[in-house]
Amino acid sequence: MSQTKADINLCNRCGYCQSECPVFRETGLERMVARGRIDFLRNEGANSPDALIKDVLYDCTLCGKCAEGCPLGVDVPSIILKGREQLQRERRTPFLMPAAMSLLLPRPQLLRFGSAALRLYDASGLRRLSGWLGVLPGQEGLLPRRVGPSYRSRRPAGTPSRGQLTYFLGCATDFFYPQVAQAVEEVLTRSGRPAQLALNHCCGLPALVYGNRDLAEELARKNIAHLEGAGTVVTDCATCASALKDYPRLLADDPTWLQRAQELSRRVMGFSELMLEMEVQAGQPPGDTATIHYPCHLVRHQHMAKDCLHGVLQGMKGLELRPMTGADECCGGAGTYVFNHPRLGQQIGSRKADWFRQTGADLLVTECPACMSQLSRFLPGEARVLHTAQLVAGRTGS
Amino acid sequence: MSVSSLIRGLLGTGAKVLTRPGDLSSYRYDAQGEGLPPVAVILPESTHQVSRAVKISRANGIPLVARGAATNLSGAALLREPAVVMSMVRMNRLLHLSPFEGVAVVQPGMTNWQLQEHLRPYGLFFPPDPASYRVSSLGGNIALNAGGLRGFKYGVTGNYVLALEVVLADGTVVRVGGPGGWAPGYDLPGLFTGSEGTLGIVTEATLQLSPLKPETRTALCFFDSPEAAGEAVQAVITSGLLPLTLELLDRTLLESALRYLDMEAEETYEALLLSEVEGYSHTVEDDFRDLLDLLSSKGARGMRVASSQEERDRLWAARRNAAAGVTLIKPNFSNEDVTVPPSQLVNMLRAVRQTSERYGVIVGNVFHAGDGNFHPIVLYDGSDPDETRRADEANHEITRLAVEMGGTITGEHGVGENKLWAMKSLYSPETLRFMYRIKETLDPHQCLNPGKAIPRQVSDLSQEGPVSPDQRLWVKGGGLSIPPPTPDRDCLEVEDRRLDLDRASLTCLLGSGLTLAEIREALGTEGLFFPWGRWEPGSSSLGGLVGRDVSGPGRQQYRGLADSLLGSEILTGTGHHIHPGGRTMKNVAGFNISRLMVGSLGTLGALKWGCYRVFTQPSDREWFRTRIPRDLSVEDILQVLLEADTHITSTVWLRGFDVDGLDKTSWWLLLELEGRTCRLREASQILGQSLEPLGLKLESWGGSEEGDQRIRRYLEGIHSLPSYQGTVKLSVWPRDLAGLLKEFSASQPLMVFPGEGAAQLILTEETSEPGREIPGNAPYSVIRQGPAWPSDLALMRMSEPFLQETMAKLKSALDPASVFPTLPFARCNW
Repeated sequence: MSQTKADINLCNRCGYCQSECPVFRETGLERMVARGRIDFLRNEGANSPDALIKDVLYDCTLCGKCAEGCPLGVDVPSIILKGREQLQRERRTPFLMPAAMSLLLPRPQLLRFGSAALRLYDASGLRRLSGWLGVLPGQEGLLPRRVGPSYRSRRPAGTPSRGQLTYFLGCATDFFYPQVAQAVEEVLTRSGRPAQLALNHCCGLPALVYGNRDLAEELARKNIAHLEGAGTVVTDCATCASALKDYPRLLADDPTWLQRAQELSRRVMGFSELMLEMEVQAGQPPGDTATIHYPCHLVRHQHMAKDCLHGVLQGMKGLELRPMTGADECCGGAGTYVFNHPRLGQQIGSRKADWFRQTGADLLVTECPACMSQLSRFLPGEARVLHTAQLVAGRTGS
Repeated sequence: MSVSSLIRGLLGTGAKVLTRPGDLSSYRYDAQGEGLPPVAVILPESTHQVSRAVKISRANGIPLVARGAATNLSGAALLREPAVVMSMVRMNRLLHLSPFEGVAVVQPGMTNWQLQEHLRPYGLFFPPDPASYRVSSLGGNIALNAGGLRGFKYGVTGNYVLALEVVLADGTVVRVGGPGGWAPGYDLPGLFTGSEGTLGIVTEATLQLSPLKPETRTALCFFDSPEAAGEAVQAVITSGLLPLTLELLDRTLLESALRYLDMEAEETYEALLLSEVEGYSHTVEDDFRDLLDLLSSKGARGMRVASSQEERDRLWAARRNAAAGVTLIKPNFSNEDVTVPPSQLVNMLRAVRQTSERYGVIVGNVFHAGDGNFHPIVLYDGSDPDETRRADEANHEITRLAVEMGGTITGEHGVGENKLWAMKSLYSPETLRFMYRIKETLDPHQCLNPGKAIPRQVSDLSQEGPVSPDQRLWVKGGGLSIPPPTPDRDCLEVEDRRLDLDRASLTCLLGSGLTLAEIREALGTEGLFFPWGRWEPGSSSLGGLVGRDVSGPGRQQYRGLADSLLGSEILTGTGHHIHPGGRTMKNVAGFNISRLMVGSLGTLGALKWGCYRVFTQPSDREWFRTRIPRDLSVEDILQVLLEADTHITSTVWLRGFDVDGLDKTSWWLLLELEGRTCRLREASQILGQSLEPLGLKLESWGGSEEGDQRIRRYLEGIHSLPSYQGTVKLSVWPRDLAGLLKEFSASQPLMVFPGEGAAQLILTEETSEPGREIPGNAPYSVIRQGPAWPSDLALMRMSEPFLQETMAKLKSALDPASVFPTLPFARCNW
């Protein structure tokens, strides 16, 4: 907590964060930019009325852009996370979400049941009926449509054997983008390094961003134990990759687990990182021109990952790579942010979509299922939002 | 005052309004201090909402403070009494961009950086670049007349504000200024720029842009002492080289900069100079070599030249990070902002060092040396009350020293509330009183940002001097007066003929009684150059030139006369001598009353003398001409000139000039180039090639001085004709030029200065119908009256409602008894 306090006091309110913050860009409200949030925490503290403190702590997408541009290097995301942890400890968390997470995340079978329920809701016509009756909240529209069976339901997973390349499949990809998981496995198999699909839990990041540090730690320990002894651990999801790489920080106060966390984090690679290392030959791209959306967890939370993603696409024959304004800015999806802040999430997303349209590219490539879902929502029929793996596999799947 | 009715009213505007205490408290601070939280915050999205909010605040007796990005360093947007904060951040759109005119129309909440991003694809940029440019709003840049790193070459924000839409204290919306920044009457954009939101709220700004230069060269070098570096900078200034930047860091700062670059600082390195030259491929190498040679001859060592854009970015990042790095030495620092005339650079550096020793505090220097804008950083530990007090005293001392050396108390951060105390040491009570009168007349109920920029406690004036309220005067320049003197007015002849040159600062005090010929000659012998009024007869007085704001070539390079008038002595209608402004280009202390004199036609007071910027005579200047076919569009030509890979000093369209090499019935485009003799040929070839696709053939029209003389002789010939009626200056956007030109007959002598947004129309009985109105509806002002001036022809035509009223208020502030004539408003044309 003292480091957080020092960070809070370091801020000299120069206001340079205003140019970086996606939320401030949409709202223009001083309370919604790092300078204002930190000022609030410094002066009013976490003890202020719930409505205010929740705005201050939860309106932030945690994209980390402000910290990146801060002349004094104030670690804003950590400050916000610490604040959320305190609220969680005091049971003042604002949403249903944390409770659902505590229930579901440690129990993959229950999580899978939820996904099946969503499928049933879609397939039974209940969704159409309730949409027709107009009884649904706005957020409902954000739920994925026509969700197929999860990847894991088709493909058995197991405990990785010693030294073997292991695929850490994130929950979102598993449930909503099984075609991405399939592409990842295909590329690896084709390149002569088939991977073992791990029987992992959620990486823990969703719990952490809702302030449930204990749950995040629990999930981290489970994953560390499961992946111990495996070789390189590859994941298709920028968020999972950054979370796994960051386990040492999460478990810094736990001497028995810290070393094991460090050992794992050294073996974790994002999909593009692995592609560059393996010098994989990509297939025929499904379009002529592409531009990249760099997920926040890839560009700001992982060293060099941005260059890797760019490197993979740059190396593809027959693909023209176009620069995009704000390519490394938050898309507004931010995990579940868009469900809790539908209006802001949509404003940020629409702006991002405008930037994409300015490039005139056919393909929008990224490496995070949450970003994919958010971006495709704003570009229906206009662009193919693809994961790097789909591009490298040369097929977009169905 | 009623807060609830205020909030109800504000909500009724349709704008977002904040009232929760937790939200309000985040509007109590800026980048350096804290004030009261506001009563309410309103975030308007349109001019209409701003106007309504101003009226509502006023009706409820609660003042209103406009706020941009709140990166202020002077407390200009902090609250000391209950007030409404108006955050302009939601008015952040680019409303219009006209690349061929080099003009952008923006809302005030747009950031400087956002504008630059919009402009880059068009090969344009907005020159003012305060260090906070990534976040600071353009409205804030205008309110504080922001400077920045490129100030030496490009000047300050005020030099690029052409027109403004302003909501006044009573909620009235006025549009002031016009193309080229000029409109008939007083220079209102010049007054609102730098007024820190105390006179009105800018809701829309029309800004002048500049073409991006394709080439930049950057070098970093070291000196044995800051004074040696200061001397080198002075040598650069007087050499005529115009580097883009000259940033000087002393030992305290250079260490943290070098740490960033992973460079070892040799023990004898006591100062670092980061300098940069920009230009075109055929000029930049010469200029850069000259700069490096000059610096080396002045003792520069450890020269490091950036070989790539990447390295250049690193050098600049080191410069920017240097200031943040000082917190490693002491936890707290204050960032001072004073300017001295560049000739005092070395003295000021010495004085700052002595101050640091006297008060026992570390003072680091990192500053824009080219324009003399110092930012001494006083380091202290805020938990040590004694050191904090000494740091405070050292800051005050530095400000006092700058004033003593002929400098000013703030170059770019503004007066706000922090420098109010120092205003009294800079300006006489009379000068402050008149500044405050302007505030009182435009905002009598103290509705807008009360208590900022100008001290409130100013003593009343005692009557003094040669003027009594019942006197009626007219100011005589070189024998010309507009409006013409009437028998009931006594002549006030301004006889001040001082010529006091500060060679090392490139400024000169010039008495208004001097003639242009005298000025040209005196400066010419010093290798210097006064670039205004080049086509005016040599017998014209300087005062007359200022009063009429006559157009002429050269504005693209040297900006306008109003931009170069840094300070002055004015005899007001009450008989007081006031001294607004100073001797430095960067100066944001108080309202810019000096600028108001430009184009005021002697109606506000008598300008006794002014401090003007002067320039080093370029080694060669030459005119080029090309005949323009009837069917060629103005837009196409201007676009080609904008894209041409060379710098053009002047662009003039002429018709009706029976001068050697030109003929009376065609349109001629005159282009002036300047620079090294050997490079002029290259430049003219580049320009010729650019114009070729349009079917235009560029030919030399001789040296600039001869060309100027030819035009002057021709104009003097017309002036002496009994049938000469007069000359009027029309305000016209290049986009409207084609339409305007159609209004006039082919034989009508006309000079068009597209870069200045002005055309000068010469009226004679032969070429224009007697007594007729000036065709079209372009605003205009007479700048010369001949013997045959038609008595029923208006002397002035305005474009906007309310302007007349605002100008009349201004006049009443400076000349309450109407001792001087009033502006010859004829009619407003709206």
